[in-house]
Amino acid sequence: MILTYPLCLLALLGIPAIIIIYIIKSQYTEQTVSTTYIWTLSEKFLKRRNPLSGLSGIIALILQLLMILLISLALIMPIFTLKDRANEYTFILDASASMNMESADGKTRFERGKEEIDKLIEKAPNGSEYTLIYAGGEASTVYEGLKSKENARKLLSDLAPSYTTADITEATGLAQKRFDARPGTLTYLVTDKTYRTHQNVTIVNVSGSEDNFGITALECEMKSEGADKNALYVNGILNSYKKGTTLKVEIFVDGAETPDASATFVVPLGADFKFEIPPIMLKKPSYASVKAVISNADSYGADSEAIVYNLKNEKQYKTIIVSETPFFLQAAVGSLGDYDVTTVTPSEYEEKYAENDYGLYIFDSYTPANLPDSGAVWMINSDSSLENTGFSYRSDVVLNEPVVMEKSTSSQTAVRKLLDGLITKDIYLIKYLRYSTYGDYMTLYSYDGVPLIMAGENLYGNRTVVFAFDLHDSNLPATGDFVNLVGNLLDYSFPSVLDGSSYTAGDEIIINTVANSESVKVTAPSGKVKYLDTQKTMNEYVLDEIGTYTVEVEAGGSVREHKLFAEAPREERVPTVIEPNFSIIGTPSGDRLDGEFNPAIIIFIAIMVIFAADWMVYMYEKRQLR
Amino acid sequence: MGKFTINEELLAQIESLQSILKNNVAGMFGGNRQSKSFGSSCEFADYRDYLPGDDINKIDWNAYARFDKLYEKLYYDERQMHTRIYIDASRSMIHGSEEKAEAALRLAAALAYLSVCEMEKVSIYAIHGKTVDCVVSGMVGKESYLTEIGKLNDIEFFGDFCLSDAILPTTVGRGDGFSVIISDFLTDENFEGAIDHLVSKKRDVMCLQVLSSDELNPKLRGKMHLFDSEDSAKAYRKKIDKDIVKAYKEALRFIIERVKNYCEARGATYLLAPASASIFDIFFGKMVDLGVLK
Repeated sequence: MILTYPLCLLALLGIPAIIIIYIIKSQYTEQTVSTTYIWTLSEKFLKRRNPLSGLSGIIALILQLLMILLISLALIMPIFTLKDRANEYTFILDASASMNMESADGKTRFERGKEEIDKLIEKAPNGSEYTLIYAGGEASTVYEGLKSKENARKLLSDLAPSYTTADITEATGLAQKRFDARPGTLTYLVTDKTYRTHQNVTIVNVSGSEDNFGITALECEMKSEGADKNALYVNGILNSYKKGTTLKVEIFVDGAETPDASATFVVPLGADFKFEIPPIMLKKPSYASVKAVISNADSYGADSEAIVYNLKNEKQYKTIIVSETPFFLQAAVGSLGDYDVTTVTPSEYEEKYAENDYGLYIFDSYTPANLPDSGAVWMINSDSSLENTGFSYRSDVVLNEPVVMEKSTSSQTAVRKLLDGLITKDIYLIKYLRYSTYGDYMTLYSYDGVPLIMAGENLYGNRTVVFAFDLHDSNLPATGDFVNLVGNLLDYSFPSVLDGSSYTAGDEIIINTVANSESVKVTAPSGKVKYLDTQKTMNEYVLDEIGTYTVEVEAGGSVREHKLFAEAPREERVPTVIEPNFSIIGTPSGDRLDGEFNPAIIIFIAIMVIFAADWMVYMYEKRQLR
Repeated sequence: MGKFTINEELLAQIESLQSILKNNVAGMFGGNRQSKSFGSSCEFADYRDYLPGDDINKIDWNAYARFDKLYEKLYYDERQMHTRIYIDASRSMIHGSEEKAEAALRLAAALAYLSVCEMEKVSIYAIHGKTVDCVVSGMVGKESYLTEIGKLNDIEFFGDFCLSDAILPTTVGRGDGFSVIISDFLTDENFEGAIDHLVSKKRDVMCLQVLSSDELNPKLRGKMHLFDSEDSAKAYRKKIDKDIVKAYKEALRFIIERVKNYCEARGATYLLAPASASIFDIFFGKMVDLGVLK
């Protein structure tokens, strides 16, 4: 027996206190009467006395002593141990996106799964221990070895399903650890999947006969010229998990309330069905978003719509070129798009422009007095060291004859992206500067191990491109690669916040931090907000919900909004999934835990009964004395 | 000590009442009480044949004219009675609010006045234990009443009450009127002997049982240790509840019935006089109803 609050034994002191009170209270009142003759004679007439009345004083005392005893017990909260009467339970709750499917009663599979676990906990013998593993996008242990039924049920009720594919393998690993530690553990997998075979686990299937239709891989293209100028072509893939279903797809452009187009398709069971919407003639040259919706009702609405957002040209940052001979750069940048470029000489820069803010500073054969602390920087042929650049000038190297620059063969994604589209093999160089780097740079081109073109971050955390040679000392500006390289470097300097607009829930995406960003705020479909670290050039973000995410970038006093859509994972759209096997490896033992018996309810009832009895005795005495 | 006051209005009303004696009166002196023997009063009693030597003034000449025979008219004789009133002067009579003692004295005074008004002689006695103390002796006439009756207030209430032992040795008279015993009769001592003795002396016996409100309806409840006012050695210790009170009332009823039945069996008059009841109610209510007064 365990005494939860042994100090409450002190309440038993109430017993002697009650006895003393009774002794004091039980004293007789002395009084003289005219004669005791009648009273004495009355004894002969005292027939059939109620036996309770003779003992009433003692009965009340006994009842009150019992009450104190029981109240003390209730306060002490003794818990009795019952040998080998309880179990250890491990529940694996599948929290994959398909658990969001609703059945006819309006309950989702996940809710039904929670109810099943709740019932198991309720029926479990007291003293049992409960472990709950949540198998969402990542498997996690919600609680482990919890004894309190109340807490176990409360924590269970707080859970919500994810919108991604469940990591059942990781969940199995967690359950396996629990089983290995205690082979007597009873493991339950609550899921909507059907397993052909399973071992050491009880499968609780909560799937129903739900119908589901889904849309995915939505694409749209707008013609900008020709006879079908401004025509919007929309296509995608439909899935139906009901035989011979005709699905109606409606298209909404730019958040229109009524569909701009619609079409019906007979979709075969289970297979991908590629659909195309007849061209939609828009009266404007661009669009912001296109939403496709399956209007048929089904059990899982999250995959019945898809949205594509048009990524806008985000390279609208100001650029300044500081050079005495800016021709090559001006020509390259000018050919790449509508950039806001200011070209000045070094002296003009020092006089007028040094204090201004720009998105990109290109210093060609010129080293400013101070490195700008905001905005990307290109340092071309800088022949002196400058603080915070991440590199320092060491010497000039003049070659006897032109040499070919070596293009980096690194498999690093960023390097490959920067070198994308560069095809010229022979880029010559006659003279270069030797730098030693102490910043975070990646080499794009080099000669004899000496970096010649580098990209990285300066000590202010801004993206920096370094050319260790004068453009006039190389044939690079004369090659077609120069424009491509400048374009790649501009993309690197002015990174798009988002690389795309269509993703799948559970994807981990990169959100780039553009120059001069003051804040980057991501709002999930549920309204959950996360602010990203603007000190980092790239932030990883996991799309753990289905729907539209909004990324708001505040820079230079203005806020730019970018949107992306995360659709439901395709494998989670299938109402009935049959998996081959789920097993916990090992030989189960019959070991059981010691059960617990908490007599609180019995004690409480006994207290109430005795209280009622005491009250009845009191009322009886009161009536007798009237 | 019990005290009483004379209510002149009540005394005036009492004057209108007349007591009825059951037994033949045997007074020595002429009085206001009609005797069962024939005498010289003005009240006609019967006829008898005329015998030579009879008073010819009492011949009914009308009857002679009708029946042609001489009849002598007979008249009741009237004697003076001696009313003896015995008051229980034990301590139990004054315990508590003294209402019993006051009631006993009031009753005695009223009965004495009634007798005085009927030209009877009145003696009042106080009984302490086995002793009979004469408080008022041979009081005759209203004037004497007014001077003597105040002595009742001098009666001391103490000790116990042994009626038979007190009365038997005393002179109680024979066939000459009422013997009134005023007591609570709450004793296990012998009272029957006194009644038998008085009845055997051909006296009209009347027992007035005076009980206080507390005795008729006890208010005591809870754990009580009761002591007897007359004898502290006697005690009663009990938790008094509804059942006990019920038994008490049955015991009281038993006591009352015992006295009443004994009186009725001996031809004596019994009357329960609650101490709280007024003299008017007792005299004009209960006594008239019982036929003691008219």
